[in-house]
Amino acid sequence: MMHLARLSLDRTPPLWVPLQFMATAPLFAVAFAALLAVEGPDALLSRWTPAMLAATHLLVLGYITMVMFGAMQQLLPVVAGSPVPRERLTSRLIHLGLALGTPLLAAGLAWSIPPALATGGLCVLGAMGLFIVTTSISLWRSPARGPTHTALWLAVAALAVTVTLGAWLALGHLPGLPLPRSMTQLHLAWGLAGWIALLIAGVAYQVVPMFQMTPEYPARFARFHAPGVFILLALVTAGGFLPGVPGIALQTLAAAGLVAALAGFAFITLRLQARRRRRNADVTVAFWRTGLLALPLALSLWGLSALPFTPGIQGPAALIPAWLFLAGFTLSIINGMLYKIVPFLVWLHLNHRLMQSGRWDAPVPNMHQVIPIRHTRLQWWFHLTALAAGTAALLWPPLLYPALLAFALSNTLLSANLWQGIGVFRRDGIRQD
Amino acid sequence: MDTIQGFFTDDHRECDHRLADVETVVAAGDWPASAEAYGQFHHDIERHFQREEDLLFPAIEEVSGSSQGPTEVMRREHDQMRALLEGLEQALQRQERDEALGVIETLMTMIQLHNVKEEQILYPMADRFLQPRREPLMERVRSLEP
Ligand code: HEM
Repeated sequence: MMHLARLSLDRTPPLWVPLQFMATAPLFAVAFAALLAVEGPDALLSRWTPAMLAATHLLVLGYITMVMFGAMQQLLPVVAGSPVPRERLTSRLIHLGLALGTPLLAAGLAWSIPPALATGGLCVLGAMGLFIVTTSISLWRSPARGPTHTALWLAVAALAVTVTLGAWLALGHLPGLPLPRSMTQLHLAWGLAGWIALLIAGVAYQVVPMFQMTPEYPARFARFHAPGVFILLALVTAGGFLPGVPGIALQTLAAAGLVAALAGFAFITLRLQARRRRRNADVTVAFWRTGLLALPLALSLWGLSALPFTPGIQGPAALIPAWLFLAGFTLSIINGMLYKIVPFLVWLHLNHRLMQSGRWDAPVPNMHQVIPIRHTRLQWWFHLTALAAGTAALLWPPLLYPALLAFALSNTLLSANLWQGIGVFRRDGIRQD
Repeated sequence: MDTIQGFFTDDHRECDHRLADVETVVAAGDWPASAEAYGQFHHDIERHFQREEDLLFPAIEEVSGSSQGPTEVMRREHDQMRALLEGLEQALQRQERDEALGVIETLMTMIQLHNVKEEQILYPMADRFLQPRREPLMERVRSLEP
């Protein structure tokens, strides 16, 4: 009985805990554009150019992982009923490690500066380690169960594998140490299909039916998708260690399974959204759809280029699947989610302040007043333009500079929109104190 | 026989659908239909609140021996939602489309996050702790009208 009385359903962390991550993240897209602009079209010649490796991590660590960490800090206490241990301190340290470490790591990779690479790598690894440990404790303690809970666990486990392999690869970029290039493919598979795609799927099971008012995900799909992806990743890994033909065969089959599983997620979600009860045109749904269309496109282009009897794509065009996966799929969905999370949190915290000061009658700006829907829609157009221009630039490199400009502008506008929301909190929160 | 989880979850979904209906007609600028849809939604959600506040929560508080725990938080959130409902009603009366849509968006988000906590944590616990007395309780819940 005690258990029931002690159970707390009111554990929203302070506003700055998730927002510090969300407000910093889009700036890393600007850094991405700046780095590639400085390095010029030569950076696109292959996936192995130092500038490309650095730019990739500005996006995956500085932007994508950054937002995901912030979202988890909010989600775990509120939806899983289990706060992150010492949330103020841990979130500050994780944010600091990631925000400082990522640019250093990127600089170290781009210009082969061993001290920057080592310091940045250590900061990022520290942040990752702290996140993995504190999130595991929180998930362990959570009373919630179900597909989302399982997917979050597996995403965190995949992150641990990604980071371990990443650390090993980073050592190989220091002078005198061997670079285990055979691990790169596994590192990126665990990072993209494991950490990123599983976390998005886990969140989608929960938020798509809830906020877009669609039917629930088919129960069997929701139950087996995330564990299936995880097992396939393990098989891809095992295949990498098996010698000869059996290894290659296993890896090929498991990779095909992964493509099918991720594409299946996209199609099922698109179908659910087509049947949503909320018919009102919503920018967040538009962002989701963009992402869910880009995912199968990325997967099929990648699959085609990997087929043995095709000539294979050479030069910058080989990067199109990666661009579509990261900017098309992941950033679209994250961008759309930010427009739900940030205005709602601002509203919620303003409301709390009012209640604490006993002022029930004072007006609290609604979510569309926190970030005007006009600005959200405008930024969506910028995002689409940047996506298309980025893809075009990989086919025809002279377009690189306009594409980078569009990408930087889109994310500057996103930043401005988020900061405008935070400004509403500052203004109204203080006025009402 | 209804479980608490099953019955109240279904009740949530119906209220959700009513609110989605309000949003659709408001977005279309159909004010007479909006007033009607809002009336339906308001009736349903208020009935849901009362089913919890007058029947379910007191039963939970009795077995847990405290009114300070999760039920208090849930009551407070109901009050936040009632304040939003009032804002929505005013916006509808003034026929302010954008404001009404903004309030609906906020209310929708608030309701969903509130529902998750109840459906994933509170109701399953209530089913466990209230098992022996569930039938008579649910009898009264079903027949309550505001
Ligand atoms: C958390 C998510 C991460 C994701 C999604 C990710 C993604 C990627 C991707 C896609 C590549 C391949 C780039 C290419 O083939 O052009 C890559 C390579 C690499 N990653 Fe990561 N990464 C992550 C974390 C890390 C971390 C934490 C570190 C180090 C501290 C790291 C270090 C490296 C290094 C050194 C390479 C280059 C390997 C080589 O030269 O072959 N990564 N990563």
